[in-house]
Amino acid sequence: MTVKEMMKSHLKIMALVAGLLLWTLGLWAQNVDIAASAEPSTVTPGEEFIYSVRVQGGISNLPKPQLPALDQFEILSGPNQSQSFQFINGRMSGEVQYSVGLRCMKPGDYKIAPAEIKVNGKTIKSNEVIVKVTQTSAANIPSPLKDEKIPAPSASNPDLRKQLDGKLFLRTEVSKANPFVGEPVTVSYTLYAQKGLPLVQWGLGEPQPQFREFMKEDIFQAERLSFREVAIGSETFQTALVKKIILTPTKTGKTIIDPMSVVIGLQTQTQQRRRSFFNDPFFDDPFGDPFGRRAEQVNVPSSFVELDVLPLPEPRPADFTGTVGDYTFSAKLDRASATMDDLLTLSLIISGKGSVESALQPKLPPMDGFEVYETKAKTDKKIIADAPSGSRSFDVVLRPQKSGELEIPSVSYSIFNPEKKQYVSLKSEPIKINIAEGTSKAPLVIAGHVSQQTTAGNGGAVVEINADINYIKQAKELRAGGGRPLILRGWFLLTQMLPLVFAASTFMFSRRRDALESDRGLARRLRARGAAAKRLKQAAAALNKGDSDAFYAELGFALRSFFGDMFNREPHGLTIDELVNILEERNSSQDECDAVRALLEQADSARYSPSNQSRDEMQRDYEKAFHVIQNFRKKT
Amino acid sequence: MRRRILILLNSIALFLALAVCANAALTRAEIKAQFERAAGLYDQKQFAKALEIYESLELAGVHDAVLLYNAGNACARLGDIGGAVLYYIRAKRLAPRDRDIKENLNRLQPAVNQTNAFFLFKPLGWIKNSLSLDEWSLCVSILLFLSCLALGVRFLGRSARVIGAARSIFVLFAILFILSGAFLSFKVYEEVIVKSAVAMKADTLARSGPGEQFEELYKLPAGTHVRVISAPQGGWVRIRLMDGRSAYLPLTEIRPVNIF
Repeated sequence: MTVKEMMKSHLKIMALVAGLLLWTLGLWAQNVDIAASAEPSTVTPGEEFIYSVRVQGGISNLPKPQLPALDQFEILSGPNQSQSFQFINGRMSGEVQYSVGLRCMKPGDYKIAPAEIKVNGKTIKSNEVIVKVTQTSAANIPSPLKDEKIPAPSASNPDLRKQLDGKLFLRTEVSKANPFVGEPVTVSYTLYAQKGLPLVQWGLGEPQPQFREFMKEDIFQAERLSFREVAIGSETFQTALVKKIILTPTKTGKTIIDPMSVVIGLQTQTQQRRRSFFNDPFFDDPFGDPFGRRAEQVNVPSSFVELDVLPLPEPRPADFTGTVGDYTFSAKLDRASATMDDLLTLSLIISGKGSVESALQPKLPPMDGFEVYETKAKTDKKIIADAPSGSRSFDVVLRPQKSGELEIPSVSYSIFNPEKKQYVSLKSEPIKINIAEGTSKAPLVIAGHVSQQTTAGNGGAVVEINADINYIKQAKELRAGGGRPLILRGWFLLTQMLPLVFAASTFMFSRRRDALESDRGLARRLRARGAAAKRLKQAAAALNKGDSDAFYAELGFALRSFFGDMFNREPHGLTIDELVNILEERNSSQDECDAVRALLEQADSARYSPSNQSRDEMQRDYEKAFHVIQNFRKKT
Repeated sequence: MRRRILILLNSIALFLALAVCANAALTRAEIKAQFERAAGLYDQKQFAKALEIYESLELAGVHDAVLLYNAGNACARLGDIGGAVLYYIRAKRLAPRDRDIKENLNRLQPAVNQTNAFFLFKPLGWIKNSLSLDEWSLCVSILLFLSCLALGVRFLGRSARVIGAARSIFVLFAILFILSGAFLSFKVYEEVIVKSAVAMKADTLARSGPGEQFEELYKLPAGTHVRVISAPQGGWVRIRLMDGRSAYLPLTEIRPVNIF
């Protein structure tokens, strides 16, 4: 079989394998399946459920599904991904599951649209999922609380769950069920446990409510439960306040207060087991003890409360800025008299009952004679009788623009009083102040800046710098260079190479010098060509003069000294035969050896038996000697 | 051959000298006139016009600490704290020992710009900040030259005394070169590699993600110096404050300190 035939055969096998692979992949792709589910599919408001999309198929790289929009739910966790693969009867099958933790606050039936995957350009859809959010109340709630939608606790043990129905619950109480928008409502979560229930541990359930449709302020959070006994109907309960918050609704209409939950550890008696070191309950059960008692965890969700948030009545006063509460309003200046250089602080103060931090700035009337700067607000909040109250001060910095008696006019501020269910117009008293002429340079005034070097008397909204900033400078020469630092400039970086090149050169020079000093033969070899060139130059001078004796003397000496230097021999004692022998030992060609011999013999004969050689002959000998030296140097 | 090399070296030197002189000589008189005009406007309390001239000079390539300091003063007089702090920071990078720049910057920059370095690092920080980036570059360059010169003398020297002295001098300069190189590296990292910016407006909202829908983390005062730690995404950029906190800011609310 030739190489070409082998290649053809390999190509055929590879094409067959590739075809089989594609065909198999196609088959597997057709087997991809997608299914969606919700677990549990029926939940109470605020209870978490898991929405899962499962993609099954015979390929390892299963496509990622496009999850449907889940806008109607609150995402608590995920999307999380888990996958598993099996290889059964030579066939690979895989499963990828995507799951999202969701919850919904409002009761109703919710449809979740199908999830989708794309396989080979085709879209495969999952089934639709329906989640029912139902408000179920515990069956055995004491009769005075029957109207409240109080859910039963959930436990992994169904018997325990049944036993605790109506005996353990978390009650949500609100100070007002139909507040106006912007009116604070106090919400308390109280745990009720029938007397005698063995509660051993407690903690807040996860996740904590977010109260997205309210402004929230915590006023109480229990660190440990302190119980007191109350009678409800014919039963006695232990109650403990778990949490108390103030919620201020920010939108109108029916709004559900996010439920919360607590996790309770209840002590139960279990049968004694035979224990060994390894099944010691102390090691495997954090709630157990050596006497066979253990704590069961129970999740207690809070009752479901819906507020009907009322809109503010229309029409609204022109100067109403949205402040809701029972407030008073006043204005005061920080000084009784001032100069034109001074900055004055006008404080507009709103105080009373309500979410005072949400009070907005009063609209200022035209302030004739004053320049108005930015305003800084300060809030002093208090909680009195579980209701928010306090004061909010808007500090406006003014600079007098003229001297004399100036008046800060009355400022009007309309609020909505939810107790009276009407708008109330509040007015401050006008303030008079005497302004004297300024004496010094006006201070630097910078809006919206606070620094340690500044006066903080006006609350930091506008500051006067005690020490003025240093004055501008005069420059002798300005640096015009485009702002690029030296380190980024090419020429600067290139010049940094020069010292390195210098150091490297001196190093090489010193190495060479040391080498020449320690090896005389090398030194002679290196200077052989230069010395020969000098002598040939002198020979050329004699040639030009037509002095054949001098010419041949120089030519002979040039050749002898060149080869003497090259072979580290003294030129005067070097005979023609010795030189030719050395050249032959060094593998010089016969022509070269002959040329050297002829030239030296000619030089010697000219020296010892003077004869008038023609100029052309001398020229030829000169060129021959030149080529001999050049060729030999090249070879070595 | 030697002659050719000499001619080539002379030509390069002449070209470099002409290139440097041409840039400065053409505009020097004009720059000075503009600068003096801006100073006059500043004296007449026409800060906006003065600032306009300072900014135009900076755009024209005049990168001078005095110019930037004066621009910072004009911004401060106009109530633009962000702009003032930005110009002072730029000026301080060019003239780190200038007392006026330091004092004005300390007066105007918010407390959040202050860093509390570990006490052992403070002297190192002081040394690093005593010289500008260009000064450190020149220092390293000179020390490299002197080290190489000492090395050259050590190689060329004949007597043991000269070689010994040259070796000691080389070791000294080499150590100084390495230390200066380390400071230069920090400076390059701080001023060239790390991109920093200044919050221009008061109460700039820092958010947890790149968009208005993300949670508001805190408000930054004007003049807050931040490090930009990610590339812009959708008009937002991730920043880190000098105290280590990170957040996202809209690109429109900040201006970069680095201009190269």
